[in-house]
Amino acid sequence: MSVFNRKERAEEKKLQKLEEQQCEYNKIKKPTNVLFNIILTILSLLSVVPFIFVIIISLTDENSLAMNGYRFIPEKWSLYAYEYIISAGENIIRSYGVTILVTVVGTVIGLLLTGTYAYALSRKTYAFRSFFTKVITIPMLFSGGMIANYLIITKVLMLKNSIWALILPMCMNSFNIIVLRTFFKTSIPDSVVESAKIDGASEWRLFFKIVIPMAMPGLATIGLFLTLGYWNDWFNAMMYMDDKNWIPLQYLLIQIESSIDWLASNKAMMGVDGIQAAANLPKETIKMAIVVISTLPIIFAYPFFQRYFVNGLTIGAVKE
Amino acid sequence: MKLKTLKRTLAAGLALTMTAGILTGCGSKTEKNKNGEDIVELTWYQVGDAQSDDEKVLAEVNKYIEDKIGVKLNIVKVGWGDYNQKMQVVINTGDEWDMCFTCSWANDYLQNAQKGAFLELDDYLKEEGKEMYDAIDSRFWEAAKVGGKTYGIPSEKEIGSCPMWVFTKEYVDKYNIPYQDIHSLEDLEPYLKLIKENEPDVVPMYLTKDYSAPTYMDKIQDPIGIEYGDDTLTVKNVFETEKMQSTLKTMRKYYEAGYINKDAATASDDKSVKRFVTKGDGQPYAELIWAKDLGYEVVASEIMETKVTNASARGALTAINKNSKHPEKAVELINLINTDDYLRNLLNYGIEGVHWDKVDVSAEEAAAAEGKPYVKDFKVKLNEETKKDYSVPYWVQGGLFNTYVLDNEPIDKWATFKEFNDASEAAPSFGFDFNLEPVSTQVAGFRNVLDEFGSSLYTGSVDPDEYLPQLLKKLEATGVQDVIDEMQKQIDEWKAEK
Repeated sequence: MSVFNRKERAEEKKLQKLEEQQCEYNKIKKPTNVLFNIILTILSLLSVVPFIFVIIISLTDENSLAMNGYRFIPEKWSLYAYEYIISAGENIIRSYGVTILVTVVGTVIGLLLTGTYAYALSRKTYAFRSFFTKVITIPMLFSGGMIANYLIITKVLMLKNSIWALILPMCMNSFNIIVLRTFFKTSIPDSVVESAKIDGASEWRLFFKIVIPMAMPGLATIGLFLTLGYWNDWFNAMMYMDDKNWIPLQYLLIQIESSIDWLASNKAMMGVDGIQAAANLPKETIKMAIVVISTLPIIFAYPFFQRYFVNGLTIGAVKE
Repeated sequence: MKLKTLKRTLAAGLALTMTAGILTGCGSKTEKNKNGEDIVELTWYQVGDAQSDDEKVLAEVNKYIEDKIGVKLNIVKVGWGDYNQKMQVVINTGDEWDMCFTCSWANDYLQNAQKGAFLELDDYLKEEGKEMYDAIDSRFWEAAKVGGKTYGIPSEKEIGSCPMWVFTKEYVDKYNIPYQDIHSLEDLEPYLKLIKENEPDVVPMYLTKDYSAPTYMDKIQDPIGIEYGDDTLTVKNVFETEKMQSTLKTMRKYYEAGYINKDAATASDDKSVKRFVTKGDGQPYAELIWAKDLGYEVVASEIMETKVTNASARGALTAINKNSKHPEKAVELINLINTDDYLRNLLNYGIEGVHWDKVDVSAEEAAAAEGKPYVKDFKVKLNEETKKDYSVPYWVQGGLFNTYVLDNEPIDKWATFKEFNDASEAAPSFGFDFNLEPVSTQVAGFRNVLDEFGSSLYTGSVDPDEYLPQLLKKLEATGVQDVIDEMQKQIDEWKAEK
């Protein structure tokens, strides 16, 4: 055992040395390095600081917020916003559940449909390949518009006020299909497919047992797109969901936000009616707390996908 | 062969599921109430955020109206910011709905009435809606007319909006300021000076970007309209009127003297700023609402007499879908809401005993209000725990005058509103609707120009001697004269018909 360990350690050292050498060779000049670091620090601060600020505001006492405005170090801290969400905000918790449900179900269905469609298009032996490629390219360039979509979903598919109205409109996307088709084409050699066929695999077995494991990076990339799309979607909810029990979190947030904006900009028209209406809306700290709880899960999802993501972006970059 | 059978089976299966979908989708089941009438379901789109106890209250409402008039109500609430867009889609796609909230500032009443989305109600108002037709102030009905036809049922509330100076009570008391006597912009000057000299932390006149200087004109199409008191009905550009020009000069004077906050042209209301006076659009007892919003006491005085304009009298209406299957039931329902105290207050405040309780009125208050209209012998105390579960904008559902008053409001609140409405005078242009179709491109250009100059001129942030001519020149370039001419033509025709 110890011999093996020692051997491994020696190997590692060797590798490190090699890396160092390479680093030496590729090294950038010191001033450039400093400059790049400064630029990158600024860029990352630009994206991180607002979020930290949001977290701070969500932890600020509502009264000191009204007195002093936003501050990085508030006069008084308070957990009121989170207590409110847990105790009184049943609809917020419920919406959270709806978002998670829609995201999980939508991503699974979306991956299945996108994956199978893209795989079929990637196979040279498929007879209707060019026809089905056109079928997906057309809606990428032209869209029916809001009214037509609304009519189809509510009148033909009868999906109004159904959870499927939040899932189905988004699960197929021409862009995703084309990305994935290209990925299948470049990363799965025909010979692998052929050899599996010779061994007697059926089409389904071929797809699930051979193609999917080989195409994990590509699928993960599309999976991430879908997850983000579903998680951040509010438009479908606005159009098709009148039942307040099935409203996803993002729409709840958008609703609060746009109500506040609208009431503020129509102040002159509405007079005191507007003030009364605004008084019923959640306060600033609660809004920020909703932002925090709606962003955290997606932040945690990133590293999980990222493993494949980087891989996926580089694969297919080199031609054989 | 095999492929063909597969295709056929698939096609048959698809057809079957689709038919099944249609059947279940349209399966109509008629329920009957205890009088043996069929119960019809009506869908009502309202503006305002959904409440967690909506269903509870609605169940109670339905229990009552099913037996009373054979109607089951389905209320769809759409958030403030989404209402315009949502209603556009619902109306344009011919979605199924029966009633909706409409007014001059959301889900535009005039436009929808003109394009024929709403049902003409005149015949129904003689039958099903007679009771409320008689009860509501005739000027509301006059304002609801578009091209001589009525397309909406007005909610009776304040008929005009009343611009007011809102003073912080602390400073009024401290310096003994006779605020009731302050009306015009010029009246304010000595007191602004007083505050400026003695209270260094206080902004004497706090203004924000949505402030517009006191305007003595009905701006039918901003910035064009008819001045109050001008019975010759001459269409003018507000920035060319003497009154506005002198107002802007006064604003500039105040700004340069440091009475106005420096960021006025871009600021949005920041409640943490201590101020002596600001402008608000009010109604009777608006002080109570402002005070609650700001967290300290305020007093107010009217800047000018309240004028009734089309926009102000169309503050809240309920319209009925042109394609509604049960228009007479819809009118009957709105009539009931406007005349039945139990139903009106159930919709307004929620369930008695759950969301609110009756409380007594003090003997002296009751005695003082004796003989006044709309006075009840009790008030409403909202339940502190449950009031957040059901809190709706009152005027969306119907008139306000038969709602109960809250325990912190005077018992004769609605009598005062009635007096306020009676005292409000109609602007000369009241009843005139401008059809902007012929000049819509010119009108579309106004917004940009007004956004560019409006708030900086109104708040005195820039010198009117320099910028007013620029504004006028730009308006001229977008074709303001065409619009004035067109409006003058239409208003002359309207006057001739009247």
